Amino acid sequence: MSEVLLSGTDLIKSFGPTDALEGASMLVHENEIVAILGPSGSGKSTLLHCLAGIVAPDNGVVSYRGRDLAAMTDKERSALRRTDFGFVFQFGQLVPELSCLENVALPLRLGGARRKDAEATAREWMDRIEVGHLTGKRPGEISGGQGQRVAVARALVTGPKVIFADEPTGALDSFNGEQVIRLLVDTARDTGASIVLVTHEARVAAYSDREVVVRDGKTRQVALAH
Amino acid sequence: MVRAWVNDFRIGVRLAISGGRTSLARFVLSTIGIGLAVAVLLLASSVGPILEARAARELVNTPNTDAVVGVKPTLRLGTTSAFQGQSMDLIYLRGADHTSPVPAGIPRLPEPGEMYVSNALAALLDDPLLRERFSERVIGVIDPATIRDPRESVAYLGSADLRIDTATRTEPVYSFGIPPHETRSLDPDALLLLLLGTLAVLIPVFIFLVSSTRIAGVDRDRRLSALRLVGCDNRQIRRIAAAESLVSSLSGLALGTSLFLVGRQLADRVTLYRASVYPHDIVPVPWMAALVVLIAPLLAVFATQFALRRTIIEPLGVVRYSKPTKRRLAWRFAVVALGVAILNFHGSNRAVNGLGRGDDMWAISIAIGVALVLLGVPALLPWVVEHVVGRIRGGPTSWQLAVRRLQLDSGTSSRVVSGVAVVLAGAIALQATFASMAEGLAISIQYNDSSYASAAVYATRSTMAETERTLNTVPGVNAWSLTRSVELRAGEDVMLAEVMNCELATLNRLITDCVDGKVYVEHDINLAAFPAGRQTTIYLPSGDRDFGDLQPAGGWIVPQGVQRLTERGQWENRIPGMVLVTPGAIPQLPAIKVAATYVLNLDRSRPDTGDRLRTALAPLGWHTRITTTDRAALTREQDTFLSIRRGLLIGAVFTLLLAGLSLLVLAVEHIRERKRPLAVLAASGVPTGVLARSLLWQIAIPIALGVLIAVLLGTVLSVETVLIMQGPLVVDWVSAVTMAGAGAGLVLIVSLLTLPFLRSATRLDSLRTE
Repeated sequence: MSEVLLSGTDLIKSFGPTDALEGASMLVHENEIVAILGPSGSGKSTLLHCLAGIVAPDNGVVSYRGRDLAAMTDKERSALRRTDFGFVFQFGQLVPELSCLENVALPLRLGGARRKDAEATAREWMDRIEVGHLTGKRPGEISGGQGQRVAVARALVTGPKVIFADEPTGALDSFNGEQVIRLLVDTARDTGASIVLVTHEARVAAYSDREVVVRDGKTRQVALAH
Repeated sequence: MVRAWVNDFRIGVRLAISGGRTSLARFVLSTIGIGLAVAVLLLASSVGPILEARAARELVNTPNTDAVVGVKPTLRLGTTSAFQGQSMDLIYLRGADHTSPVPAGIPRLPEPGEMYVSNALAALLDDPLLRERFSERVIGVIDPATIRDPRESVAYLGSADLRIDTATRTEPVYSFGIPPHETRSLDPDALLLLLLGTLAVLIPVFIFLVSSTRIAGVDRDRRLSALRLVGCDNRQIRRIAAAESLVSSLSGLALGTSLFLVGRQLADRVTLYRASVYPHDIVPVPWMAALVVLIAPLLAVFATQFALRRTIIEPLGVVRYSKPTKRRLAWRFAVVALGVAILNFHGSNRAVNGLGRGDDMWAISIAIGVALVLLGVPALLPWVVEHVVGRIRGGPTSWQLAVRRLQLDSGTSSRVVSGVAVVLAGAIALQATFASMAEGLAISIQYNDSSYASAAVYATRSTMAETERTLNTVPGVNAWSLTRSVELRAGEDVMLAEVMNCELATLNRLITDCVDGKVYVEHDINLAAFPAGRQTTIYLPSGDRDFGDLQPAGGWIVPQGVQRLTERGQWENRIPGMVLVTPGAIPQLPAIKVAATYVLNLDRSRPDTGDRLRTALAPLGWHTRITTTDRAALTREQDTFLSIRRGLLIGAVFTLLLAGLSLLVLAVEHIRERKRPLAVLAASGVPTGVLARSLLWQIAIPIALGVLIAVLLGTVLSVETVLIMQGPLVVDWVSAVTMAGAGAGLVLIVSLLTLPFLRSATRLDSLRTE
C-alpha cells in the first residue's frame, strides 16, 4: 500500500441544528481513487469539503502529508488548493466571464505565472482532454459535458496531487457522464494524482479503487473494490 | 509581491471588461451610474467659477457716478422690458463729447436712432412684433464677454433727449466697471439656503455613486467564490474585487467627464428657469475637479471593500455572511442627533466662541450639521425597513413575494431608495426655508412672474397725455388708474395712503364694492390718530413719483365714513397696511409735476397684452416704462433669494433625474441578477403581472418608508434652519405632499420602465443553463 496522502479523523461538522458529520474518518493514499457513496443528505459532500480544506470541521483533524489543515493560514490553504488540489464539481464552477482557455489558465495565473506561459500550458491540457477547439468559447456557449471536461482540464493544469470531484457527472447524461469520468480517471492515473470522488451512482463509483460509504454523518469503509 | 499584485489587478480588469452580454451589461450599467454622478459632481464644482464669471461680467459695466475731472459724463438710463415672457435690458445712452465713457463691449456710444444689441436680442428681433418696437437701427452686436448670460437680451440705445432728472433715475456715468473685490459677500441666510440646497443635491449623488459601484454584487460574489475554489486567498480576492470596481469607476469617470464636456458645449443653448451659461464659464475649480477624479475610483474601491467586509467568500460558490448581524439603531440615531445638536446650537447661540453668522466656521459647522441630518436618511432607512418588513404578515401573492424578498435582504432596496429619500428630505427642508424667507422678504411662494394680470406704467409729465390715450386703445387693458402714494401728516402722526380709482380697485379685487369719494382701510390699521374731521397735510415727493424729499402739497380733512375692510368678501387681494383713498375723496391733490405712475388691470386670458402694451408705448422711448410683476420690481435681497432658489431648483431637477435614472439602472440590474428565480416562478405558473407587482412592492415599500423618514427629517431640518434664520416657521405642506408624490411617481415610472426587462427575464428559455 502506498503512503497516506490525506486523512480525515473523527470529523464532526454541524450547520446550525443539522449535524452533517458525526465522527467521520477516511484516508486517501497516493495514486488512489476513492469514491464516497451515500444517500442524499448523508454528509458525503461535507466530508469532501472538509478534506479539501474548503470547510473547517467543528472537531476532528484533516491532515495533508502530515500537516494539519486547521493549523494553516487561509493563505496557505489557498496556496494548497492552487498547487496540490484540483476540483471538479457538479456545475463546473467555471468563471462565466472568462473564456475556456482563461478558465483553465486561471490557477496558474493566480500562482503568478505569466499569461503566455499559463495559457500555453492550459492549451496543452485542453488538447489532451480533447476540448482544444473550445479555447475561445465562454462557459455559457458550450454544453454541460464540454463544460465538465474544461473543468477537468482546469483541475489538472497545476499537476495536483489530489483531485476532489463532487458529483462530476451529476448534471450530465449517461454518455457524457461516462466520457467525463473516464477522462478524469485516465488522466489522474497518467499523472499519478489521487481522486476523491463523491457520487451516488454505482456506475461512476465503479471507476474507483475503494469505496467509503457515508450514512448519517458516519463513514463505513468498504473493502477495496474491484 | 508587486508582480502578484499586478497579476491580481490584471485578473480583476479582465473580469470587469469581458464576459459577453451579461458582463457587458453589468459593466455598462455601473459605468452609466458612476458617469452620471461624476458629471453632476463636475458641474457642481463649476458652480463657483460660473457665478464668479457672471458676477465679473456684471461688474464690467457697472456705472460709476463719482465725478472725474476732465470727463464729461455719459448719461445712462437703464430700463427693463419684456417680450414673450423674456425680459430685456434696454439701456439708453447719451454722450457729451469724446471724453464721455463707453460701456465695455461696444466700440462707441450709439448715436440717436442707433442701437447695439446682444446676440440673444438680435435673434429675438427677427420677430416683426418686437422689431416694430424699435425705431433704432442695429449697428452692431455687443461683445458677449460683457453680457452676463448668453440668453440675456440687452440693447444699448442712443438717445437725443436723455436728461438727468429724478423721475427716470437717469445717471451721469464717469466710468464703467468696478473692481471685482468690491463685490459684496453673501447674506448669511442666503448662504444657509445655499448650503442646505447644495448638500441636499450632492449627498444623493454620492449615494448613487456608491450604489453604482455595488451593482451586480451577487454576480461578483459568485465569481469571486469560483476564484477561491481554484486557490485565491482572501486578500487576493479583495484585490481582484478592487481592480474590478476600479475599472467601472474609471470608465464611469471617463464617461462622466465626456458627458460634462459635451454638455458644457451645449450649455448656452439650454435655458433653465430663465438662466443659461456660457460654455467657457463652466470650468471646475481645479482642486475640486482633482478631488472628483480621485473620489470616484477611491469611493468605488472603498464601497467594494465595505460590501465585502461581512462576506466570507468560500470556494463552494456559497457566499455566507459572517453573521446575520442585526442592524443597530443607536449609531444611526446618533448621526441625526449630532446633526440636530449642531444646528440647534447655532439656532440658540447666534455668535458663540467666534462662530459668528456668515463666517467660515459658522458655514462649515452648519454644513456638517445639515449633512449629518441628511445622512440620517440613508442611515435610518435600512433599520426602519428591516424592522417594518420583519413584522409584515399576509397579503396577496405579489405582496408576499416582495415582503419575503425584503425580509431576506432589504439592504439593497434601502440603499437604492435612500438617494431619492435624501433628495426629498432636502427638498422639504428647502421648501420650508424658502417659504420662511419669502415671508420675510414679502415674496409670494406662489410667485408667478409670467402673469400679466397687473402692470404699472411710468410716464414722464410730457408724455402723460399720449400714454393715457394709448392705455385706452390697447386691447387687453381692462382698466387703469393714475395712482399716487401720498403721506398724510397730522402733527407727529403719519399715515401712508394710495390714491386709486374705484374701477381699478374693484377689478384688482382690492375692494369688492367701491364708491368714489370714500376712503377704505385694512382692518389692522390703527386710525385712532386720524379721526373723521382731523386736519392733515398732504406730503408728496418733491417732483418725483416715488422718491425724493417730501414736500407739503396742501391740506386734507379726514372724511366721515372711512370704511374698514374687516370681513372676507369685502376684499380678495389683501395688501397689508393699506389705506386706499378714491380720487373723489381727495380732489385737492395737486397735479403731477414730473412723472406719473399708472396701475393697470390686464386681461389674464390674453397673455400677449404686456407685449402689445410695450409695443404701443415704444414710440415714447425712455419716457415710459412698463413693469409687470417681474424681477425688475424686486429688491436686491429678493433678487438674490430668487436667484438661489432658481439655481437650487435646477440642481434638484438634475438630482431627481439622476435619482430616477439610478433607480432604473439598479432595478434593471436587480431583475437581471434574479433572472433565474424569476424564470422559475414564471415557469411554475406565477403570472407576469404578479411578478411585476412584486417588483413594484419591493421598491414601493422601502420608498414609502423613505418618504416617511424624509418628511420627518426634512421637517426637523426646516425647524432648525428657520431657527437659525430667526424667521417664521412656515411648513409648506402642499410642497411636502407634492415632493412625496413625486417620489411615489418616480417609483411607478421606474417600475413601468422595468416591465420589458421583466418580460425578457421571465421567458422560459432563461431556465436554460448552458
